[in-house]
Amino acid sequence: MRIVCAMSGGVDSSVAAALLKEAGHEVIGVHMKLHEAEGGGPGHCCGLDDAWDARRVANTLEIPFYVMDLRQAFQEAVVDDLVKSYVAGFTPNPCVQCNGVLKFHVLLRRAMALGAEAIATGHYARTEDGRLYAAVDGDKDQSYFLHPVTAEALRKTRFPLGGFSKPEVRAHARRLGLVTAEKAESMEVCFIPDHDHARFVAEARPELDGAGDIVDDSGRVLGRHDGYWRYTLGQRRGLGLAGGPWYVLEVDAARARVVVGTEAGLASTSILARGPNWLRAPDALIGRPLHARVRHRGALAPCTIVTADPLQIELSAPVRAVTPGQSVVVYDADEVVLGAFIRRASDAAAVAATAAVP
Amino acid sequence: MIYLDYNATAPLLARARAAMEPWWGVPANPSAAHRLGRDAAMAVDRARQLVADLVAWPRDGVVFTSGASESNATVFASGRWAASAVEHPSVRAWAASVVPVDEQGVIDIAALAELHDIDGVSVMYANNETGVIQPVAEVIALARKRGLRVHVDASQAPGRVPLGPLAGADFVTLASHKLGGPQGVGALCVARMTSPAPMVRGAAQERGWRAGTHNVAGIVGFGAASVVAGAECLSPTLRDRLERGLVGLGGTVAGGGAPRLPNTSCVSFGTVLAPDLVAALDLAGIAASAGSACASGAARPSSVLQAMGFAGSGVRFSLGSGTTQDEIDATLAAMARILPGFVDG
Repeated sequence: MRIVCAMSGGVDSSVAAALLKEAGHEVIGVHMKLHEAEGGGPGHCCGLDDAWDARRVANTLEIPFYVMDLRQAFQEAVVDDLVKSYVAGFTPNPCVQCNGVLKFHVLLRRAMALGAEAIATGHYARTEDGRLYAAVDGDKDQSYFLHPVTAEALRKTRFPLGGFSKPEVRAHARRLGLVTAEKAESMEVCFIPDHDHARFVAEARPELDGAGDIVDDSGRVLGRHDGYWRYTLGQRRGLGLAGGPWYVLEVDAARARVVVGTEAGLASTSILARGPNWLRAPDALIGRPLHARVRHRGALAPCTIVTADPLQIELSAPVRAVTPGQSVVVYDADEVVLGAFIRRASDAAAVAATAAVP
Repeated sequence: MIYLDYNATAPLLARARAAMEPWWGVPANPSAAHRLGRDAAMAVDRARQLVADLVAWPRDGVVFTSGASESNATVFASGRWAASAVEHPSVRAWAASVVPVDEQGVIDIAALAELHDIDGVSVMYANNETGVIQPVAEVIALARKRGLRVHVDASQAPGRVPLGPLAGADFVTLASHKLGGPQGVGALCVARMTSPAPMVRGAAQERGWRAGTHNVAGIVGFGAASVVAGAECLSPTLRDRLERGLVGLGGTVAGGGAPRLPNTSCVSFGTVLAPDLVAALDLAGIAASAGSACASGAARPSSVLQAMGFAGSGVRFSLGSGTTQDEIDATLAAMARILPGFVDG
């Protein structure tokens, strides 16, 4: 089978391509150039060095290799979206956007045009028959990031690493003599220098002021801040307030206010979410005991889906800092059955009230 | 593999290969005082004559370099130069000011006439990406009037178009591997009275213009290939056949309204990205380029097409003396197969 394998230049996608080749597939390596990387190096992906590494691995594997320029698509789908989300008071997850919109949409389309039957990536996840499952290695599982990938795209997707642990993947890379075998992990948002998202947003939207009051939940002004998008739910450090400890409970973009309170105010039992990707029919899920994850590597919290539209999920026990803009991914055992973007979270009664507002 | 990427590099001519062969077997440093050195020096000078004949240049004005990029750098290392907006990156890297081009990719002579505070102007004979031919004789005439020096990068011209318009230039750049010689050799033709301004400094090889031991085998191959190129002027028949077919598939030819090399066609297909088409062609066994070969690894949009205000990205097909009609027809059939997959997205 002709398969286009996304090759970032890291060890995971290198081994993914190698395993497909060993399995007898006609593998085509594609490096997606997503942005103008500054420097690159460990902790980044998609830099110039990474393109070189990917090319060297492709040469070692003796597979065709192409660089695809997805900078414009990445700018629109990931970078612009990130800025827009912060400005709207959300805490976005650009890796989810990158996966859902770019890797499994743009790449899939182009791969089909190249005559491929499927695409593959080095993600730690498993897929079968249009369904998405967590990786065997729970520590490395990346299924959370993949929740926007549609069943249709999953049917044309391979995750060769889904059954392996990281040490096993590195062992494969060493066995095959791949230059990326000992390469460091990329952990950070790849296009934000110094990982300073607040500065990134301020530079992207210099006309925005964003300064305002820091208030408690009764509206009492406790201090000032110089840009509400600098704050995220649950944040404790950098508030500069007397007393406390204070935690950010809400980022109110419309009024440029940051609402703070005690840690108890961070607990949520209900989630209102938008943009759902149903990997199982809603009727088969509503009311059943399932588990929700509200952040990457976060604990699985028992939950039930109350309504599909608007999507409301109830948590059996309070979960801390369910953050608007992040994803809620619902699992049935190790299967991802639903993914969506958190719009609002609070106790059940408040969410129901919000949902009723048109 | 159907090879339609002659502008990136042309296959080595059999005559060039045969001429080079003996020189890999002997220690040949033309600067050495012994017989082996003298033999090598004579071989280099014979090649110098052959290259000089190709461009009707005085033999002693031909300086051998490691290639066209080095030739260009040698010219621009001294003085302030203007260059057209569609020059090769190895020229634009040095340009103190840029002369715009029109939508066909032809240099704006009026804009050049307005430029001040420059010592010279650089214009290519023919563009590597579009094949568009520049009005070199006009540029030289204008420069004469204004007392400016003229450099012409003629890397893409030999064997394809007559080289008469180079007469009167102060510097001409040539590349061996574009005309069927080996890679790693080039020439800078310098006007007789120009005093040496070497970029690679050291010993006095090449009359002080370029230090470093000669690439004897390469230079000999360059000379042999120059003989073939000098006897040839490629016909546009096959290129035109390809281009008619591509236009029939919805393609737009960059610089299609200007005089062009008979071997080059740069075609865009709406919003389809050229690198994607090049990948699909490669998988179909056809070698073409998106823009220039130098830019493809970086996947950048073509600055040449941008300078022309040409919307979209172009696939460059460049043909050579080895191209056959069957290959052109097979390429058109492949494009007809490939294009729908990209256009629908």
